[in-house]
Amino acid sequence: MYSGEIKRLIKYKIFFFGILVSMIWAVIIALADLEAVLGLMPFLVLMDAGMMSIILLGASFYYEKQEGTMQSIIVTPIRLSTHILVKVLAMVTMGLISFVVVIGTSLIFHNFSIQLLPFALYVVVAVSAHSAIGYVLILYSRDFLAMLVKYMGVVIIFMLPMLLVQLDVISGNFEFIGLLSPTYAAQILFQSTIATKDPWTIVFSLCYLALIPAVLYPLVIMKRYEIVAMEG
Amino acid sequence: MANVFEVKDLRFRYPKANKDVINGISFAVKEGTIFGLLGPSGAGKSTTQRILTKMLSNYQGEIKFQGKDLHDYNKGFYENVGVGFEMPVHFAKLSAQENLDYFAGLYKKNGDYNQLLTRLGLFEARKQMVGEFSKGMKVRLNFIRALINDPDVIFLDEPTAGLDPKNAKIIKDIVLELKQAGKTIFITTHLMGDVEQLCDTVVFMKKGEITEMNTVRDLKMKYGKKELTIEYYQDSNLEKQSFPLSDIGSNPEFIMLLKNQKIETIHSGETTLEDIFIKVTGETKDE
Repeated sequence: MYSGEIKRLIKYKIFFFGILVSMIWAVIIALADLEAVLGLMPFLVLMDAGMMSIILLGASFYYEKQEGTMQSIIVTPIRLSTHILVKVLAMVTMGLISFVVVIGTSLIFHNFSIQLLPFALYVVVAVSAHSAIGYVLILYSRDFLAMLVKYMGVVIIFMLPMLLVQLDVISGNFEFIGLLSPTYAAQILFQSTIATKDPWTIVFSLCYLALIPAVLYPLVIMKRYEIVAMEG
Repeated sequence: MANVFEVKDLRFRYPKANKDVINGISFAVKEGTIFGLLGPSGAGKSTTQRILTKMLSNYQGEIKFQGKDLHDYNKGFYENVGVGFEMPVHFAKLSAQENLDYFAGLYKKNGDYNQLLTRLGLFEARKQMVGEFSKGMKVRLNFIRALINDPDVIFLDEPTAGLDPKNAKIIKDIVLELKQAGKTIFITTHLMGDVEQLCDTVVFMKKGEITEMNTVRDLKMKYGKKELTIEYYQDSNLEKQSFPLSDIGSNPEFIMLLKNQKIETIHSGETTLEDIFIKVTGETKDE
């Protein structure tokens, strides 16, 4: 089913657009200087692994809804949890491809040290958390446009803490407020692979991001997904 | 023959509705038969089918599938059940072959869908994107999709709607062959011709209730006139006369007419399913 899903994403050009965005990031990285790259790189991976994954998941979902294939999958022996897991795995794959493209380009054109394995793990966690949030947006939106409107709201809410920290509006002990934004928490994790970060901040971010899918999938997404899929 | 489905006092209400859409219906579907569910739009046919295919679960009443409560089945239920939808349910940007390969991969066992593609005239087009298919091609692909796991119990919703007579006949022939092979088929359709040619048992529904349930033959006997109508020429004029079937062999008027007149047509008073549909549902079939 996983290979079928990847094939579908390729045929529907969802994969293509995901990789295209990563390639644009790669060009930017190749042209930037080291200092800019170290600042940009975690953010660019975050864009792909976090925010882009929500958009691509939405596109994939609404294609399926429009074509009625959800109903056709519901009447197969495949469990709903497996079906959703496969979709998240496909998004994780795309996130990892983006990671390879962006980090690979960075290492080819610039000389710096990075913890690759933790970074890859953080990408998986970030995609899983953002996909879960994406599913909530999708399942409570009538169509793709309605989802995009909600998505814009989420982008503002999630990006605001990053901006406030950057502008030193929140700092010191109050930085934990920013970590409530999954996007900021993912950013902290990514940054920790190229710079020293407070270990407790890393642990909190990791646990927080892992907790989001662990709570949202069984309590919200599974139930709602079944209803939406049945409606066709 | 054992019952595949036994439905007793089935009731269903959609979450936000203020009344039941299925009002205590009971029926049984025998193994190796073709069961037709008919009725005007909104009668509850699709809801009934969605309940039997486990797409809706919060119903009241009792449904037994192969002797076991339907609630007790997990997703393994679908290993042996095929569901054909009325609307196309395929990935438009994948080819017919890719679609079938995708769905075949979701089951433990598969039927010979290449043979079905050939028989339904889609083999040559199997590498074409489904989005480029005509409506009839999509309907045929839907039918193949329903049979992809070689199921013993098959649900078909309007399986020949939008098909030309040739392809409709191929589908009907396959359905009859499946019945011969011992499969149980559940058909929902508006096409009375299909019902007449295929169904062993027919259930008519109206406003969530069963208004009639019988074999096609018995329905015709029940609602038809037991008479014979003869058209014949007398003095170059076409005349028509009806005779009761009960004593037709000894009816002198009938025998004389056969002997002495030039017979044009002879018709029994058998009624059509379309007429029965209107009688038992009180509506025309397109309402």
